[in-house]
Amino acid sequence: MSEEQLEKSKEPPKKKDLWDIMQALGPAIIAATVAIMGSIYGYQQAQMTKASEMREVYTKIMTERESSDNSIRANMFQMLINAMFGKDVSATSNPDNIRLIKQRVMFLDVLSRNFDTVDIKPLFEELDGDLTKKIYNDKAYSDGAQKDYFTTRSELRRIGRNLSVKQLNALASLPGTVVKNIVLIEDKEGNLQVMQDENTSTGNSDNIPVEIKPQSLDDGKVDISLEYLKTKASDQGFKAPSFVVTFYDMPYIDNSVIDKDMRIGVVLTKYVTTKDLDMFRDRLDKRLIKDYEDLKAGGIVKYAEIRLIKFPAKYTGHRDRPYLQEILQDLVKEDKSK
Amino acid sequence: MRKLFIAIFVMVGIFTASMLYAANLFGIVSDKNGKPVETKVTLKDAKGAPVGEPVATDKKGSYAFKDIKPGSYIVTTGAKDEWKIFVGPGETRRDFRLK
Repeated sequence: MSEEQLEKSKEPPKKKDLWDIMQALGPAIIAATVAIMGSIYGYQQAQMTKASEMREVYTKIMTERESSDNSIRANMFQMLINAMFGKDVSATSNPDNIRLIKQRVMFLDVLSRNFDTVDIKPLFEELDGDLTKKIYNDKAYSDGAQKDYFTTRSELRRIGRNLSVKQLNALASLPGTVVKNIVLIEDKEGNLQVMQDENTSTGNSDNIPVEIKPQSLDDGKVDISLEYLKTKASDQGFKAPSFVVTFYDMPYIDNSVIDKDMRIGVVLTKYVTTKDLDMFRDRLDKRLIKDYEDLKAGGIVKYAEIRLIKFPAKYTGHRDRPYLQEILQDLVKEDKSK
Repeated sequence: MRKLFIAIFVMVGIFTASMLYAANLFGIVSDKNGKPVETKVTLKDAKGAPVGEPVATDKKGSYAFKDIKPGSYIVTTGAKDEWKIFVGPGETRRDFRLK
């Protein structure tokens, strides 16, 4: 054995580096990686299938719920309309019977609570007008009957006002809407006065470009015209037609187009006539008597409060549309932030 | 005698209650971005005389003046914002947005 070979055999065996280990374990690592990836893929697929199934079940439940809800609502609508106008009702009922009138008020309440996008204003106004005729007809009805009609009409107006104010508040809470308060007063001489909230420090900044002109105040009916300032500026002779606002005007349904994609709604929120103070003092809200007396002492015969609301046209129509729009906006924001 | 006193007390109570105004003014004060503001709200009558004590809005920006007489008022909020409003019978809601 040569000297060189002898030296080599004396050297300690060379240490295995990472590469050697990799080479040795390579097939096992590849197999393990494939197995892990495979199981992750399988798990993910299972999760996706499960989520897809869940979505399907959810959609099915929602569709079925919607369909059964619609069916219940359709039956309910039919039942309420029949209860008000059915043959049996009109043939046997006495139109002066306060119990039947109260029943109609209750039906209208149920109808308006459940179908607030259906325009049932004519039903309300017809009953209100009928009650108003009875309330002030001394010859045909006793004092007690007149008072009962008055109380029933107050309840009917409360129902209408609650509904319209609910819609007004829902719209007012959404972006892009502007609300303006207007007070209309009629004095003893029959003069009508319009009072608007005014910012005395910075000038009026309500950007609702309309001028309100009252024509008359009469038993819960406010006859006004809205003059669109832009139209007035371009056509000096333009005179807007007047229309009547009652407690039953719903801003979602009863609105006018102004500007591009903007609507304007008018809601009657308060109506007081001081003649009721003498006739129906005991049927008025006790807490308000002093206020009414004060109005009367100030020479005010009729008092009405209306609210103008300007809102984007996309909020009109179906009652859920504003919320749907809000949900869509939130989703877009969420998506952008991700 | 005791019954008489009770009767007088009840009658006076009813009479006093009927003499009170029910007009309430309430609402929310917000900044120009619509966020509620904690500030003082002062109420003056049409001639500029203060009506009651100024009230402070809460965290939600809410304020309220109770049992006031219906009529024209001037409401001051924040440092210099002033509004001329009419308070009707019963409850009147007015929301103010600071400039």
